[in-house]
Formats: sequence, C-alpha cells, structure tokens
Amino acid sequence: MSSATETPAGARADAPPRRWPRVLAPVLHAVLVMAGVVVASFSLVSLVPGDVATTLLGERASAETIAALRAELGLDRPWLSQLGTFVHTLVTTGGAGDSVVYGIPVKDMIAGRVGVTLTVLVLAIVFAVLISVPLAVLSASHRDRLADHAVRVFTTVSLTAPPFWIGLILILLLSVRLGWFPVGGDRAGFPLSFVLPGLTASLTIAPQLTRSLRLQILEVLDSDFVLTYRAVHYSRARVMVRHVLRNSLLPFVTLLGTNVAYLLGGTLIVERVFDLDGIGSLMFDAISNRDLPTIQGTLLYTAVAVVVVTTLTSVLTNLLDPRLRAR
Amino acid sequence: MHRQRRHVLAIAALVAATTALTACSSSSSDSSTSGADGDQNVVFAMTSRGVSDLDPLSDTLVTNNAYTLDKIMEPLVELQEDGTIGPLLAESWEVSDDGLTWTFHLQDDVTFSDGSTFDSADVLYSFQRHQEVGGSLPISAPVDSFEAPDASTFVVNLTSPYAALLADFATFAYVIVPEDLNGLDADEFFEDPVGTGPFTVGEWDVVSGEITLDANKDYWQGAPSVDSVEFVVVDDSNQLVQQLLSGEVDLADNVPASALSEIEDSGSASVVQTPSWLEYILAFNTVDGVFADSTVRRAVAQAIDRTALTEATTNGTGTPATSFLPASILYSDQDIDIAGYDVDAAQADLDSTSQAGGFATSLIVESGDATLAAQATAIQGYLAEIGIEVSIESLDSTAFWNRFGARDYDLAVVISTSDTGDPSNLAGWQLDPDLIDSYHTGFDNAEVQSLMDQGLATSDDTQRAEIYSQLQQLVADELPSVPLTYKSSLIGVRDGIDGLVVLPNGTTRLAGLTVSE
Repeated sequence: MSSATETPAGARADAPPRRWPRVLAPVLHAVLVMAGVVVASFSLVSLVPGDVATTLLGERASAETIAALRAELGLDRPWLSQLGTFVHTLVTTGGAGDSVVYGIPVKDMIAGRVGVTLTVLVLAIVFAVLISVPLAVLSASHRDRLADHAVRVFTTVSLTAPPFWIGLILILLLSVRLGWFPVGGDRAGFPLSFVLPGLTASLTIAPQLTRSLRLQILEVLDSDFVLTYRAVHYSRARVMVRHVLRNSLLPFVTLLGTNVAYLLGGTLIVERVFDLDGIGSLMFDAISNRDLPTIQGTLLYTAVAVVVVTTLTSVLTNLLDPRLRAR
Repeated sequence: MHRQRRHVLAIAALVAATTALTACSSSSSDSSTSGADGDQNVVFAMTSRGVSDLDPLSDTLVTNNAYTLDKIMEPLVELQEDGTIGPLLAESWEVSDDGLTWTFHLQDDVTFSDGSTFDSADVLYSFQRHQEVGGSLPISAPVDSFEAPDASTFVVNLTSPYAALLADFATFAYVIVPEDLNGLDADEFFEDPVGTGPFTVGEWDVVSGEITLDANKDYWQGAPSVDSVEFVVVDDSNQLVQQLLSGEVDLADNVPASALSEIEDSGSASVVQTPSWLEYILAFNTVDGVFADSTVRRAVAQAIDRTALTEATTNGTGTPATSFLPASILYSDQDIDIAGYDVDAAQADLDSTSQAGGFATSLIVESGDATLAAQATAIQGYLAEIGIEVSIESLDSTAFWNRFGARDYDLAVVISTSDTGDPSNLAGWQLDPDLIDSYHTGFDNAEVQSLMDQGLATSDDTQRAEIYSQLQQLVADELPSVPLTYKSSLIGVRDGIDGLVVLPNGTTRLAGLTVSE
C-alpha cells in the first residue's frame, strides 16, 4: 500500500512532461487487463466439455440436430475464428452481443440484474466497516489482553470459514430458527432480503480489514504525537477517535478499495446461497449453459467495474491524504 | 482537517445514495404469500431451468415450459390423476370400426381468455400448425387429413390405425390456440398466449424464468379460487426446503428425497408423493466396448440389488424397478422376469464371456441430483463384487448430455421419462434407434421393432397387453439398460394449501388450489 500512495505523489513532484504517461499508464493497464479477461475466459470455456447446442436442444436431441445447430451457431469453427467474431462484436457494438440461450442483448440482462448485486455489495462494504472498525479499536486498545485475543481468534476463524458455510449457518439461525429474515430470494424486498447476504459477503473481507486496521492503530499508538497528547491529559477515547483512528483510516480505505474485487467474488457466491438473481447467478447459469456471450459479457463488465473501483481508490487516497496534497 | 472531513462526508453521501438507489430498483417486487385481505397469491418454487418459452411447438423440450403452458392452454382430452384419458375441450369422441376415423365432439360453451369463442376452426388451425411446425413433440400418428365439418366437430383421418392417439392428444404439444394466432406471429403471440385454460400470463422474466400466472376469471370450468400463482426458480435444494419450511414458498416442486423426514417432522409442510413415469436407469453403450455383449450386461444386472439400492438412495420414496415400463404406464407387466439379484449367477455369467476375471470401466452421471449420485456410488460397489472396477465421472448437465447424446460413454446412470401413459411413447424413446439412438444406447433389435409396430397398429386391449408383455420380456433379456428405480414425484406443500392435483407425468393442476391460514 505504500507504493499506491507514494508513486503518484513522487511523480507529481517531477516535471510536467511526465504527466501524460501517468494518465495513460493506468488506462493502458486497464485495456490489457480486459484483453486478458476476454482471451482467458474464451479459452477456459472452450476447454470445458459440452457446448450450448446441447443446452438449447434438450435431452431428446439426435446427434444430427445437434451438429446442425452447432454449425448454424458457428461452434464448429476454429477457436481463433470464434474469438475474432467476438472481438469484432465487442468493438463494433461495445457489447458482448446477444445471449445464445435467450436471444437478448447481454447488456440488457446485466442491467436487469445489477441492482441486486450492487445492493449486496454496498451493504457488504457498510457491514465490513461497521464490523472491522470497532473490533480493531477494541483489539488495539486492549493489546495482548482478553479482548484482543478474542478478536484475533474471531478473525482467524472467520478467515478460514468459507462464506457459503457462514451463509448457511446464518440462514439456519436467523431465518429458520428465529424467523427474522427470509431464507432466500428477494421477494421480501429491501432491506429484509439483503441483510443476511450483505452480512455474509462482508465476512469475506472483514477479518483482513480488522487485522490490518489493528496493526495500523498499534503503529500510530506507538508514535510520539500520541504520547504527547496523552501527556497533556487528553482522554484515552478522545485521542483514539480524533487522532489515532483518523491517522489509521487512510491505509484502511486503500485496503477496502483493493478488496472490492475479492468482495465482488464473494458476493457472486453469496447470491447463489441466498437464491438472489444478481450478476452471480446470471454468470453461474451462463456457465452451466455454455452461453459464451453472456459469460464474456458478465466477466468483462465485472472486470471493468473492478478496474474502475481500484483506480478510484488510488485517486481518493491521493485526495484524502493531506501529506500527499501538500506537495 | 476540515477539508478532510468534507471528503469523508462526500463519500458517506455517495454510499447512502447508492444504497437508496439500489434499494428502489430491487424492492419493486414485494409480494406477500397470501394477502389476508384481498389477493390470494400462491408461490410455487421450481428447480432447474425456469420458463423460457410458452410455445407448445418450440424445438426445445424444457419440462417447466411444458408444465406452465398447460395451465394457460388446453388440449382436446386430458390426462387424469389415475392415468386414464378423459374429456376436456372435446366432450366426447368415437372411433370408426376400422380405426381410421376419429370424430371429436367439442364443448360448445368455451371461450378463450380474450373473450372470443372456441370452435372447430381453432382446433383445425392448431393441428395444422402442429403438422407444419413439428416442434419437440411432432405428430406421430399416421395422419391422412384433419377436417372440421361443423363448428363443434373435429375429425382426424388416419392412413393406418394408431392406438396411442388419445394419449398423444392429451400432451402439452396438442393444446389448442386461437385460429391464426389472432393475427400475430408466433413470437408475439406466445409472449402472452391466449388460451382456454384457467390461467393467463401476468409478469414474466424470461431470463430468470420466473413467471406469474393470473387466474382466468372467466374460465369455462369456473374461475380458480386463487388470484395468481407465482413460479419462482430456486436452484439450490437446501434453499428449496428451507423456503418451504419458513413459508416463503407455498409449493416446492421436486424436493430432495433426503429432506422428506425434515419436511414431514416440521409441522409446517408435508410432501405429496405420486407415482410417476420417471425412472432411474443404468444405460449401456451396447455398440462399442465390453457392454456390446448382452451376457456382460446381464451379469451387471444380476450384480445389482435393486431393492436395497432403491431403499437406500430414495429414502423409501421410490419403487424397485423391474420392467422398463413403470407401473403407472399402460400394460406395464410387473411380473416380467428380469435377471434378479444373484452375485454367483452374475459372476458365472461374466466368467462365461471374454471378460472373465473382470475389467475396468467408467460410469457417467449428471451432477446435482443426490439420488443419481448415490445410485452411481452404489453401483460402483455392487460391480466391484464381481470384479468390475468402475470409475465414476460426475459431469454437469451440459457436459453429461453432450457425452451421453454422442454415445461417448460405457455406463450411465440417468433418469428416463415418458410423454404419455401409452407404452408406445416410452418404448419409442428407449428402443427405437431412429428416434434418439434408443436413448443413446445404440440398441437395435429387429424383433423389438416389429413388436413396437404391432403394439401401435392394433387397438384391441387384450392383444396390446399381450404384445407389450412380450416386448417387456424381450427387453428384460436383452437389457439395453437396467431399470433401477421408479421415481415418485415429490412436491412439498405448505400447511394451509389444499387442492393440489399431481398427475403421473409430474405436471400439476392448480385451478382447485385453496389457501387458508
């Protein structure tokens, strides 16, 4: 995280001619990432046995009908030629084309689903912050005492527990046993249907956040200015909230930003566990149907979102850090 | 410090705004299970693929499509709970002595959901369209011509007798649509099809496959007592069971057999078990490899204890299979002498072939169905007893059907089904090499073909029973596949929901559903 904060700052101190490379480099980087996503997903799907012709024709299809449909869809052409067609569609239309299974533009299918995924994602970020900040403060301010050990055990356990397992436990406890939340689906609407999914997804990143924030706080607590504040009889709580926490939060924001990609992956699994129709279940169905344009489209748009968030995070960090602004 | 605070505030505002925005977009569909005052809505959870197409003549055969459109449109005759065929849009019919002319007398007080009157012109159009388009279930009767001599009569002229005509006519592919599709093209019409059935299309999301059917208040047999039925897709079987138990869904199709006791013990829901036309079979590649030898196939059949296997893998909901025709199919002969469980005989049979001493082979199975997986594992254990070492390949649906459909396998555990209660249909799928390669086993037997032709050409009950009995014995000897288990259809029903009718083909009648709290 030091490179994220130092590189732009260092560059800013240099002469103006280096400005353009600084803007272009991330863009070029993003384009390369997209190209990688397209090629990698294309190759992976072609390695998986079976194709969309089987999906479309169902269980009663004869070998001849399947072969005919395959030819019609161009699935019998060489891999490179199929990739070429896809890139052509991408460049000319700006989208992944139409779903082979539904005949609807992939963009429209994603637009219909993105609300659910974003809701879970945003709630997960909110929960992750609500969980990790108090826990880190508690842990750091009670260093090596019971509360600290308890928090550290909690983070280790939740780090190792897979999110779908946590989801199932939450469902059994809070939905089935206590009946506070629906078991699944989004029929109960916001917020009821989204609380457990958001909480489950947040647990994919909350442990790391807690641990790194705790370390950060401990580092700041040991610094001279804290000792000075304490020496002039500022209350422990005041020093913690006004000075220590504020100084520790910046690396935390960076970490949160870089973890959004990971969180998004978690969200997609969580959708499955909670029977939500978001991007994750769209992607899952597309893969089991071998619906190539939909797989490509969802992966591509997700990659775009991740790249945008990561870039925004580094911009935000620059804006937020007075030390970087001052230069 | 102040500037920093402003930034933090800006971020907080952004997060809040996003949350609010997404909340609006996702909370649009908050329907209650059953409104205490006003609308009664029943939520029916389906597994696997949702409803993608309501055209009865679509090329793709998807169960949930077929069993949704049959609530909107109706055929001339209908399959009843006991498996027999009864009147529906035709109030009566008669067949000529030579079996070549079928005359249907239509109901005369039926209207479509758009208010227009149903008559023989609609029937004629629907059958002609069926003949022209074909679809996943094309007309298999040897039709010479269709006629509509007057508004309430429809006549089918055949070139040769065809015993399965009524059974065919009762399937979803034979439902009646308005003449000329009300002037629309098929794609437009089937977005919101007009039919004579108890329900019409309300909301429909083609991608998720979730659809709400509204009651047809003017249904000719009396309006359904519920206002709407909402079909939702729940892929995960754990979610399916828990949503049923918590009352989030009222009906759950295809609940896993392993959850039976959990549901029954919950005190909030129960499971309706109905014998079905579905059966678990062990299919052989009868053309390439060791299983081309029918003695090896017989050794395999004798090595498997179908009774124990069925009990263990279906929690007692299934029935051990004997004939390839499930007991609920017409002329099923459950006394057929299929090679029974006898390890010594199996070993002796195997040792009499070139494969004496055993061999290694592989078995493919579709993932996602706990019973299928358990059966594959059980078979692996049974065959090890006689020296056949089986490796199991668990494939996802697309990969499985790709391999199975191309006969690229040795052994496969798979679920087979019938479209009608007449034995000719299931026999066709499983034993006719020209349809789908004898259910992808490659089995081709001239004597079997001849018996199948005879079974369709005669309409005399006693003769047909005799022919199909012979056929079943022949198949039991040749064993293109081993029938393992007759599957029951298992539908979870929340307490307070009554009037569900389940038919042997697995579809439901929902017009009589009632909701009480």
